[in-house]
Amino acid sequence: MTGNWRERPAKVQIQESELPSSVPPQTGLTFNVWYNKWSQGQSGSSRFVNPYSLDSENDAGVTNGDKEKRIHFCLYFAKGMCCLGRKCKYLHHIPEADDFARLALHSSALDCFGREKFADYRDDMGGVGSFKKPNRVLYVGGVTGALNNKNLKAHQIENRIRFKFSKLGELDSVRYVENKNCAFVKFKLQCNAEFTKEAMGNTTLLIPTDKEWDQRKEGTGLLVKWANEDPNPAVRKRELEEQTQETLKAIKQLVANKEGAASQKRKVEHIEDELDSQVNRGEQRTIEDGSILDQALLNKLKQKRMVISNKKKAISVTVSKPNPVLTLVNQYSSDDD
Amino acid sequence: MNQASSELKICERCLPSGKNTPTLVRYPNGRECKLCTFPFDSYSYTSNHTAFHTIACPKCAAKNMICQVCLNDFEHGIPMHLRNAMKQLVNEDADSVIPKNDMMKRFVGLSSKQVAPLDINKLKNADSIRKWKVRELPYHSSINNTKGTFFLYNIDSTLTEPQIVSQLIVVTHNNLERENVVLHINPKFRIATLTFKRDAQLWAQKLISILPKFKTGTAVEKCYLTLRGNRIHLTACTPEELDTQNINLEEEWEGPVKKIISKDAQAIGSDSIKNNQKIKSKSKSKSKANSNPHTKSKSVRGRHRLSL
Repeated sequence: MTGNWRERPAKVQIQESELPSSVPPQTGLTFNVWYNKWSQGQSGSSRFVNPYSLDSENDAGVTNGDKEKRIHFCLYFAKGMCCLGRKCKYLHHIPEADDFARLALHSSALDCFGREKFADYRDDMGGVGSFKKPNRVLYVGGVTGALNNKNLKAHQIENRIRFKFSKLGELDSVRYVENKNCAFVKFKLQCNAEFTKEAMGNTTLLIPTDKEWDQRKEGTGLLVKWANEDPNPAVRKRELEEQTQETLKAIKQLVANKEGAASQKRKVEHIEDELDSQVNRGEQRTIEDGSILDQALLNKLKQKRMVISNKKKAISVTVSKPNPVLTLVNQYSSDDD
Repeated sequence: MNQASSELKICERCLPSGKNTPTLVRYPNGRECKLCTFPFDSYSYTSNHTAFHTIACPKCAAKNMICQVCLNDFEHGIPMHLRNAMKQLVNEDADSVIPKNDMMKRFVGLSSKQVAPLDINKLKNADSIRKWKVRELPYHSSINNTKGTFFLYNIDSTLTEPQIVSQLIVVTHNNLERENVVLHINPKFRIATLTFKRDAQLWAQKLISILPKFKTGTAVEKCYLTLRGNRIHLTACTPEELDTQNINLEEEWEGPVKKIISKDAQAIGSDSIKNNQKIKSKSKSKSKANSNPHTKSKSVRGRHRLSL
C-alpha cells in the first residue's frame, strides 16, 4: 500500500490491547514509581530494542489532526505504536517542506512533536534539543548493538543507515566513521531530524533477510542523538557560506513581506480615504436629493468602516493589554496558600 | 505580580485571529524562564485545539524583543538565531548569546541590556553592505566588459596611489587629468578600483586601446600596466559597486590569487613570444626572460607605439 498518504486514512499501527506496559523491563530489584525506573541490584543495560517500528510508506495517512489543521506530529506514530490511526489528533506522516514552514512560523521553541526545547542540549546530547541554533545533524551510535554483533563491512553498514534514514526525510549527507563505528546523518530539514531522532532511536539495523532477524530484540538498538558542530574547518566554512545564503534569502523575503504589508496598509488607507470621500459625496447627495437610497448606502459604508476599525482596535488591544479582553482564571499554586 | 501580568508580551501570530477570545489561565510563579531560569507568572490558553504557554518571562521577552510563547522576534516572527545572523550580515553588533552556565543566565537575566531592533532599511541593502569575499572579486573578468570601472590587482604593497595615477597619466601621454582619476587602493589585498569622474566610458576605451593586452582562456582578455618593474593587472570591475575597503579577511586567500597571477604571467610570456616571432626583432631568449618583466614590457609597449 504505497502512494500518496493524503489519499488514504492513517493505519492503526498496533491494537490498544497490544500496547506494552508502561513499566520498563525489569533491570533492578525495586521499581521507583517517580522516575519510572528500576533501581538497586545490578543494573544491566537499560536499553532495549523497540519491538515496533515505523513503516513510513504504509503507516502514513490522513488523521483527524489534518482535518483540524494541527501542525504537530504524533510521537507514537514515529515510534510505530499509535493505536488511534486516523482518529489520532496529531499528524501521521513524514514531515515535508510545507510542514517545516508551518512549524517554523508557529514557534522556534517547540519541536515537531510539540515538545518544548531547551536553551542548552542535555549533557549526553539526547532529548528534545536546543532552540538556540537549528541542528539538522544526528549522531548515530550503538551500531554493533543494533546489528546484534553481526560482522558487516563499512560500506554495508553505511548503506543500511542510508537506506533506513532516507525513508524518514530527504538526506543531505551520511558519513560513517569506520574506526569510531558511528555515523553522522544530515537532513535537509530540521523537523526531519527531530522526527527521525525519535523514530530511529532504539531500533535495529537488521533486515528480515538476515539470519539474526529473529533475535533482533536481544540487541540494544541504535543510539540516536544530536550531533555537535563539525570541527572540520572546511565544513565550517561551507556551512557558514550556506548560512549566509539562507540569511540573505530570508532577508529578501522579510523585506518583500514588509513592503507587501506596507503597500497593503497603504491600500487600506486608500480605501478608507475613498470611503470617506464616498461618504462625503453620499452626504452631499442626501442633502441635495434627500433620497433614502443613498442613506442605505451610507449606512453600509459606515458598517464597513466600523468593521475595519474594530479589527484594528481588537488586535491592538489584545496585544498590549490582554487582561480586560480575556477572562482571567487564577490557579493558585501551593506557594500562595 | 500584577505589574508583571500587565506586561504580557505575546505576538499576533500566537494569538487567535478569530472572534472567540480564549480563556487565559494564570499560574503564579508557575514556570522557569527558558532564558534566565527565574520563576515567573506563566499563562496558558488554547487556540485552534493547540495549547499555548508562555515559556519565557516578560522581562526577558521585552529585553530580547521576542514573543513569550514562540520565542520568535516580536515584530517579524523570525527565530532569534536568524535575526542574529541578519544583524551580523549588515555589520551590526550581534545580540549576546544565551550563556550555558545557569548562574550566568541569571546574571544576564537581571541585567537590563536591551536588544536593538532589526533595521529593515539597512537590510534592504544587505547585498551591498555585506563584506566582499576574496573569491567574489573580479579576477576572472574580461577587460572588454568594462563600463568605465577597472579592477586592478597585483599591486606591490610599496606603491602608493599618486605613483599609480602619475604612471597612468604618463601612459596616456599627459592627456588624462589628475582630478579625473578616482583610485581606491586596498594595500592589504593588493587590489584597487579605478574610475573616472568625467567621460568614464571614453577614458576606459582609451586606456584599453593604449595598455598592452594578454589573453587568459578563450574569451578573457586583460591589460597590464608596468610600474617600477611591477606589473599591475587590469580587468573590468564587474560588480561596479565593489568596495575595496570592505573585504572579508579569509584564511588562505593568498594561494588562489597567486595562482591567478602566475597564470597571467605565463599568458603574458606566451603572448610576447608570439609577438616577437611576428616582429622578428628580438631573439627568443630575451623575450623568455619572464623574470624581468620591465625590459620585456618595454618592447611590447614599443610595438604598440609602432602600431599607433
